[in-house]
Amino acid sequence: MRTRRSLVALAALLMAACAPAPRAPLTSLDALGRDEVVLVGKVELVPPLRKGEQKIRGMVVGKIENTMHLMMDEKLRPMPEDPRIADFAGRIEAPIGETFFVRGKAAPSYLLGGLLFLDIGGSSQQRAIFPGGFQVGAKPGDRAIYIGTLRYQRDEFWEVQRVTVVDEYGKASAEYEAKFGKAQPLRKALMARVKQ
Amino acid sequence: MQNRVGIAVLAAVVAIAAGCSSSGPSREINDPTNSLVFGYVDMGDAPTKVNGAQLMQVAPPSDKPYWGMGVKDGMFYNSYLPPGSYRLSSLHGSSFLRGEHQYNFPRQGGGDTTVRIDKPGIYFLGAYKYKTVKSGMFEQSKFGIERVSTPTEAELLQRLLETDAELKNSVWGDKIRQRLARLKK
Repeated sequence: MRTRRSLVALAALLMAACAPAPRAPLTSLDALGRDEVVLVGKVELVPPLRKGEQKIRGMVVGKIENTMHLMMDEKLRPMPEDPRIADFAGRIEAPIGETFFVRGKAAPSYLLGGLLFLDIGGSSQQRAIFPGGFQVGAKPGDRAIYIGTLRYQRDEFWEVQRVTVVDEYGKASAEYEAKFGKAQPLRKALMARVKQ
Repeated sequence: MQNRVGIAVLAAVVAIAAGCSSSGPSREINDPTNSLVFGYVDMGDAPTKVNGAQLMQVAPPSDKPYWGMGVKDGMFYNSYLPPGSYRLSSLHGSSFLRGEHQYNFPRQGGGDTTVRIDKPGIYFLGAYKYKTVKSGMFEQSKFGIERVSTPTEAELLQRLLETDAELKNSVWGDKIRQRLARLKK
């Protein structure tokens, strides 16, 4: 059992070290490539994350605290129940309750679902999985799109009761302009649910 | 595997639930707001027997969310629980050859191993059987539990009366007998 435990710990370290990078947050539109777009959106939890609901112990790699990992892919597929390292590629690390500004391809993509670490760093890893199945409707020529607020209503057992895309364009647009100026307009393109 | 209620991580631990082994706030056994929550797990196929269990209080929020449970021959119970929502958090066991084990249940999901206590009473979480789940060399060990039909709620309540004198001689004695009478109707 000791050998097994060591291997598990090693595997966890390797996973942390090998986890692909998330989408980079953007600070300037000048940093965008020709075929890239800035995605503007937000994730909300209702009720919000309470103190003590997320337990992070020791050193962890990446943003974990109060962060929803939104799994993205160019092709629509079901959100994996047990995501592998490759599934984290191109994820959006969305600070819950705050507007995110991340880089993406100026082409349609899909939000497969979300993952929130509830307990990490100890002898066990606990996480909650959130449903997705939304298309992000970026298109060639876009420089900035607003995809909406993804609102997850959940109960005390982390069962997701309802998922809605809320239009908070006015507020997000004001944040966008404060950050990037008015040179490139923010196009509203709310995430759309697609049949799987 | 139709009746499996969850797959969780099985972790070998040096110290049982270090930092979270509180039995919750102290309460009197005859407190009228108490509820009795109990269940059973057959650990015949597990690396160890079970000698400890914990419930986690998920609502209302608490600084001490973990409630220890008494364990007797696979039956686990707590008769001091105030109203709230709880989930079976972990089982613990140890054996001479395999050492200490902690069997953690997933934190996401309602279902049979969770309970919402709106009013004081007796709540049966169910009877289960441990199932081994294969995992890869570099994965954490996993297990599942399947709902089983025996022992029944009545059999376990009867066993509680016969094996826990403190419970039997408290207000729970009458409440359990009343419950047994209703179950036998």
